[in-house]
Amino acid sequence: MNISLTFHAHQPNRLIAYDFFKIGEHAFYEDDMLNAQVLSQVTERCYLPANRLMRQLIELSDGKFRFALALSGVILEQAMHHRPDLLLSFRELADTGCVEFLAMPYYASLASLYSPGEFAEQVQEHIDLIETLFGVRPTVLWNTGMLYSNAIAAQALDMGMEGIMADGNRQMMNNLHPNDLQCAPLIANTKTIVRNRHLSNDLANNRVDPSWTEYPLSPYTFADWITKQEGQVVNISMDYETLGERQPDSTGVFEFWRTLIPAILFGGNRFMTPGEIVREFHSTGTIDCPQPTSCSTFGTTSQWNANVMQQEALKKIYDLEEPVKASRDRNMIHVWRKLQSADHFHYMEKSNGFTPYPSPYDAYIYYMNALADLQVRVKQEADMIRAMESKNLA
Amino acid sequence: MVARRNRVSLNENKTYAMRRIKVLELGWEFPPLINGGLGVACMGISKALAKKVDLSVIVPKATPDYHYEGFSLVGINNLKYRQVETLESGYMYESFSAVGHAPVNLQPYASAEGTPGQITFTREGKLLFSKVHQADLELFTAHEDLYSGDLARKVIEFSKICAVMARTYDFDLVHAHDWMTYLAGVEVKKATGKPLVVHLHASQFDRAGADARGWIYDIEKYGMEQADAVIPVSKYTGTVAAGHYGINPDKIFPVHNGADPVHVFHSKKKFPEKLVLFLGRLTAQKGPEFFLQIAAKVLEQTKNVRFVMAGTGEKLRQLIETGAFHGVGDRFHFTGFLDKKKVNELLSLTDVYCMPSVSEPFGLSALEAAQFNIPAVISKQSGVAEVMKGALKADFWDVNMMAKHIVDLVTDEKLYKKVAEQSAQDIKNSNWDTAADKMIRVYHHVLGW
Repeated sequence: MNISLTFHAHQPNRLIAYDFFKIGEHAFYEDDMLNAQVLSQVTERCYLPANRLMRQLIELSDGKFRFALALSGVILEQAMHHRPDLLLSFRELADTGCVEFLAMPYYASLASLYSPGEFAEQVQEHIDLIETLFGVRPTVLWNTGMLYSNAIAAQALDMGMEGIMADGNRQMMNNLHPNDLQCAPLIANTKTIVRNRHLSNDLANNRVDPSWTEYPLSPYTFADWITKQEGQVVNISMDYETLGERQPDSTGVFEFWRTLIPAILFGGNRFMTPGEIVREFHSTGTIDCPQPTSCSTFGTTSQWNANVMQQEALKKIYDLEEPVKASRDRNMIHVWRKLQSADHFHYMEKSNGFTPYPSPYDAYIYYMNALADLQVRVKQEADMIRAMESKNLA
Repeated sequence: MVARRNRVSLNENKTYAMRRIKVLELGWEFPPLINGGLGVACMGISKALAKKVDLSVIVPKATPDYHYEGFSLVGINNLKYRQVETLESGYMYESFSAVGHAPVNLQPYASAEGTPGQITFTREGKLLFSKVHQADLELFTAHEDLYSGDLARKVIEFSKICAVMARTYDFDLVHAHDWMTYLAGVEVKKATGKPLVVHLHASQFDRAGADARGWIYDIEKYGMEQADAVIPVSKYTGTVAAGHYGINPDKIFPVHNGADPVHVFHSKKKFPEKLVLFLGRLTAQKGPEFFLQIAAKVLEQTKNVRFVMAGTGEKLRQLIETGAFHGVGDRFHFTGFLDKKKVNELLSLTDVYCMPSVSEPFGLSALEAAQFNIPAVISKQSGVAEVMKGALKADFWDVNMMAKHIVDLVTDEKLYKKVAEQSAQDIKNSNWDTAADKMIRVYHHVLGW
């Protein structure tokens, strides 16, 4: 059986308690200290040891083990500022030639839902960054939260992507086999790679759940499941933070993977990267997905845009697109784009317990104040440009 | 008898000079320990009164080492149990029986000092109260907030202790502030035969609406009925006392609050838009929902404005969501609770003050804003509307009119200047000395001097 393994890594830019009195006073919205601290912590516990392990596995298997990384532009930027050693570690992985990097919207944003043009620009910015850092151009798109729809697939085609990742939730898959490549309606040249949700969740969540019937899962058992899979390729993907952060070292997570990869290879399976898959296989059918789906629990976008606070914040940040871009101020555009990260809206979800803020209401207030400050700056700049233009005319 | 009357009438014009009135004031909040609106007002009144009357104040809690200029202040929390015991000998509490409801916790618990706060019923169904016990005194020494815990018991114990203490004071009349001290005032009146003046800073009608009934309402009504004079903080509140509590209008004498002069300064805004401010607890009484609707209406007409809602309260979260729903999230800012320094900083930036209160006995904050030269848009259902002749007014529910006033102010500079100048005139007479003079006139009326 063919298997493709993809890890996704991202760290949010958490905001400071940006209160009303700061509007117009300073444009530093992010809690650099906290963000650096969390990045460092996760780097030590997860990214560095995981990278080390993956490299060992590649070397031990003579390159038979291959996998893909979807690294957001935001985490790479944070690493540049705070943990250059992490970048170096990723580059060492890239140098093995066995790791493929996927394209993402640079800012892990929801632009694919709110501004197709902005979405394309962010993906382009990310592709350029990956090429600069790792010397390869991604050909497969991993959208934020695996957001996928017919429209998004069409956009991926426009961007020249050979493939796009989607989560295989039940209503979308209908009777299709999750291990086969698909296509969106009328889109032939960008193939849809469907994540095997079931097997991915076994590793990402169930492995450490004592109430799971298969607990404790042996890597040999899982390798066996892979071997017995049917279809073109079984596509396993999850957050990279699963290794060492969500599942701490004490759960034996690194030992598990150290055993799992050789066991899969021993079963006669073949590791492929997403790019290799889309070049080798034809799509077997068409999936019709008019509504956006994601890899969240419910497969919807509700974690980002279901309540009024989220909707208001999203509306107002994308309302700024035209004036921000008109300023041609690269720094300002960058600041605006960082405020698009999906995390900001996820923190406003009422049931989200995984947040740096005291409540979703605080998340909303700080965000809207920061946004108001940006509005003020955008307006100032526009006024300045107008003044200069009229002076030139005179 | 005739001679006595003659003596009084002869001295009528000289009483100011001849003999200062001795006033026993009963308060609940008092700075520096508690700085709520009631406390600030009581402090302002006491300071101004003390210049012209002999004033003694009793409150539940005070710091023993704090000195007040011109008057004495005793906190029950500083009393020793033995003092109360001595004072209490031979005294029967009686006034509480007239209060219909018994809201106190009717599960007395035993202690070394006996059973505190015990309540028994007479055969006629009247309430009888036991003597003050050590545990009762501890109600006021605990660190607990004065309004939390068993508030009803605190109110009753305060009344009992005030009554027995009053017998050791030399005074001409008793002046009680808000319902928490009304029972005490009535009890003191019954114990000493001295006339009672009750001050109405805020009523249950303002806090809980027109249908408010219950123990607090009963005490307010009872206190005002038993009083020889009622001093509401505005004519508006006077109509509430007469209309909703059935108090005889002949003994209602409205006296507007004053405002302590504040250090006024102006800061430069860091954003170009005009700033409209709402300041207050986020409860239904203050009309924060109306402010949101007003903001949405204003923003439909001009983009050159931002709104700030400063304060916190049970409605905060709901309001945040309503703001998002109205699509004004980027122009309508919530600050949460602000201390005095931050409030002043905010006032120094503010262009228009908006107070859309549903029922506001007075509304000191509008005066404070006026001191900062800020024109105000206020609801007609507020006491301060009587003082601020220049302020733009509308019914609290008339969000269209409120919005129009704000739009006019932020777009019409001439109007803005005119309203700001008129407010400066209006606040000149709004000081505590003027208020104290009016209160003293009420004292004279009550005493018949």
